[in-house]
Amino acid sequence: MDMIFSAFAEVLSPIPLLMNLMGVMVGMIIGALPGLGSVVAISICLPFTFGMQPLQAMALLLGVYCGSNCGGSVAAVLINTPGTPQAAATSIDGYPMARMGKGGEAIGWALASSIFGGLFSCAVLVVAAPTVASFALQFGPLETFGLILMGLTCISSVSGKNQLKGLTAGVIGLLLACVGMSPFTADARFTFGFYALDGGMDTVAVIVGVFAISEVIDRSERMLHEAQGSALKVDKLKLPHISAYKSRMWNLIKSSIIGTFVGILPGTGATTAAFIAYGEAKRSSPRSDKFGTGEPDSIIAAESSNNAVTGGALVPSLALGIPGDPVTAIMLATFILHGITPGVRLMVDNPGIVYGIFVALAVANVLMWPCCCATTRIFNVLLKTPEPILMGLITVLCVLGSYGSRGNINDVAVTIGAGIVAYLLRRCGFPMPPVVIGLVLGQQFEMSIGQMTLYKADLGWWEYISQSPIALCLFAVTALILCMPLLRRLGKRSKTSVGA
Amino acid sequence: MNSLFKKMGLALACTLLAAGTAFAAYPERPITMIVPFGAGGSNDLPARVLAGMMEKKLGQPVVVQNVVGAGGTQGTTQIAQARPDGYTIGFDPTGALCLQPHMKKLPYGVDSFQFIGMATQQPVVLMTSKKAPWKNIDEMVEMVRKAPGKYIVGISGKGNMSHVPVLALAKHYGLKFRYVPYRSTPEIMKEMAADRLQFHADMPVALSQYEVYGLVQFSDKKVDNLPMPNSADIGLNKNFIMWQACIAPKGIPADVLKVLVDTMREVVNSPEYADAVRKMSMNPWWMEPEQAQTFYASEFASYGEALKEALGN
Repeated sequence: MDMIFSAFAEVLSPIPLLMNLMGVMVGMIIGALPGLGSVVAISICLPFTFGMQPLQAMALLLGVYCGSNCGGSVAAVLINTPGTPQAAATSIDGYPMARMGKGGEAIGWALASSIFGGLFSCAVLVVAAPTVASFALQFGPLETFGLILMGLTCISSVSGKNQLKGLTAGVIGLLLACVGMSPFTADARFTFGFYALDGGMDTVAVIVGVFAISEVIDRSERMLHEAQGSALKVDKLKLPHISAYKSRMWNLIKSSIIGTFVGILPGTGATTAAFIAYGEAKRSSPRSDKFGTGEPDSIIAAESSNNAVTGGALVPSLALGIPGDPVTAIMLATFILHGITPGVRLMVDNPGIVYGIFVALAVANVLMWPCCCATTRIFNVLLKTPEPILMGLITVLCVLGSYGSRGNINDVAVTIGAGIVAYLLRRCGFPMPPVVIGLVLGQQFEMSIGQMTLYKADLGWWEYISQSPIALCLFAVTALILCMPLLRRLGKRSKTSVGA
Repeated sequence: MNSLFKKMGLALACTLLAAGTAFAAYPERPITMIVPFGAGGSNDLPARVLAGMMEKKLGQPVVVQNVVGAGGTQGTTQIAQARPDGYTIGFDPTGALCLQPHMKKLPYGVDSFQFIGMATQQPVVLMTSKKAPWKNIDEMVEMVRKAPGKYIVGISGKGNMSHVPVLALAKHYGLKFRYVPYRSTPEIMKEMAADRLQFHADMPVALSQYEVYGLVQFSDKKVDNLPMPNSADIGLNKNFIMWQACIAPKGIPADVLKVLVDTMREVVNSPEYADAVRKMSMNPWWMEPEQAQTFYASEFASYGEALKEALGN
């Protein structure tokens, strides 16, 4: 207990607190710029940490981590351009809300859910890190395959009325994920001989194209026929009242659990978490028919889960020394630079720094509030510019962002190409979220299928799968999710026949 | 309109001319150092240390740019295709320079680069979980021989530095492993902690980071801080040394190269640099550009043969 108090005292002393605040603000702004996500934000701040005390460095990096996670949603809501891939799910309902003039409210939902998700995962980290981490170790390729498969079923729930078009879009996403070097044979696939495609489709580049560029083309086309409508109504950030959460509490908690858990598994990330939580909310929410038209439930699911990943990813990092995502990998590298060895003995050897991280993470989540207000204000100034100029500005940001993500000029071509194709597909009535879900989950999906086959070797499939109760559970849940609508329809029919 | 174009052309020509004559004062603007791997990794951190120390001596910022993709080949291609004016240099490890060009057709090859100098070196180490049933390499060889195809090696890509050394070892002892690719070392270490796989070959820095120990180091020299047999001890006369070099595109002007070489020599031989890289379990290693170039050519050829031998193609 003394440890926690001294950690509070240390983190809340001026310099670490300032670092934390600066981190959140910098992360928030970089996160809000399309294409520049958490990893870029952390890389920019990394050199500054070399000369700092370990705790100051961690306060800065944790601030950037949380800030960038939340900042992406501001852009997603206000200009339909997810600043980070993990905010893509937020724009599905956030942007329609903004178009109805409820942008401030939508950001309020996003912020409140982010803070809740972040604090929830932080609590899990403090209370149960070693236990949860050892459970996560049981997730091998087979279990990961089961989890991703379950995630893919949410393609059908976001597809809306036309399942065929939704599934087609999902397959397009999965195929995009296969572009580039095969991880198993060192052969290039779907590159048509262009060396530039060997590196695969950058998720960021495709997401920015599919959501932002296609939206720009769409708006520009509408500007041709429609009278110059007033752009978005400028709105201040409004936090939702607690009572508004009453019927949404379970969704909030469930999404935070999903986010925390996905964060714990190395190899998956915030984007995966956001879409799995979104799919789950869409399936179970009493207001699911309003999803896509500006329903806060979907924002809650996406935002609480993607920010819960932060604490989750720190669980294996601090308990086992195994980073949960690229951002925590950079943090562990910073430990090494400061002469602190991460690993199972970290908590025993350096309890000071571990407790410091707990506190800094919690504080960073709280600091998101003022920083998000400031960012929203900056965006509101931006939104006052006339729509044609705003659209041009967004395009410039998208091009910069897609280049900045991997430093590869070819990704700019991918963004623009994806934007044009996505626009055409939208015009034909294909939904876009399945493309992104396919792309995001596809790489991990392919990886786990290949690894699974190598692990199975000469065993029979049933013999191999039956060794893992977790995988069996996941498969059963997936099957249940897919059959549920059918069963429900059968149930209805038998009821009506009984009635007749 | 026409005259406007003429004016613009003139302006452009002047700018180019100005850029052309500017070499005398090299460096007069920031230098970009391309790192073909992600930020925070074992290829990125030493580059940042080097860049930070070089910029103090050069008086211009040296900006690290991570160009990620396709096993480091995307970034290395950008280095090879950059304008050879000394404002784009790169920090590149063995794998992308010596192994990848043998695996597939790439826009760069053995003669695409001008070496500025070597920065670090460290032997590849074969690691195994502390939970594994063996305690040293002899016990390991015996147990793996009894159960061919049972034990699994985690690799981070086919035909790279985590794969080829293990193939050479397996051939030396006549062992049969299974190789499963992963996207990153942390994922492999997670599987190792869960005892799903047993081996991984990587840089020594992973030894202090994870619950693993080294069975053998692929070097014929003993390194002080690595208490384990080396390849000479086990009769495998092969070296697999991970080195990292600072390179520039071919055709960089001699006076610019001299500035870079002098600066880098001073940095790499300094005690501060040695301290910083040793923290990452790496060893500072300076080599003059001419020797580095020859060394690279011989490494390139020997990895070509090692790959041919190991993968049989």
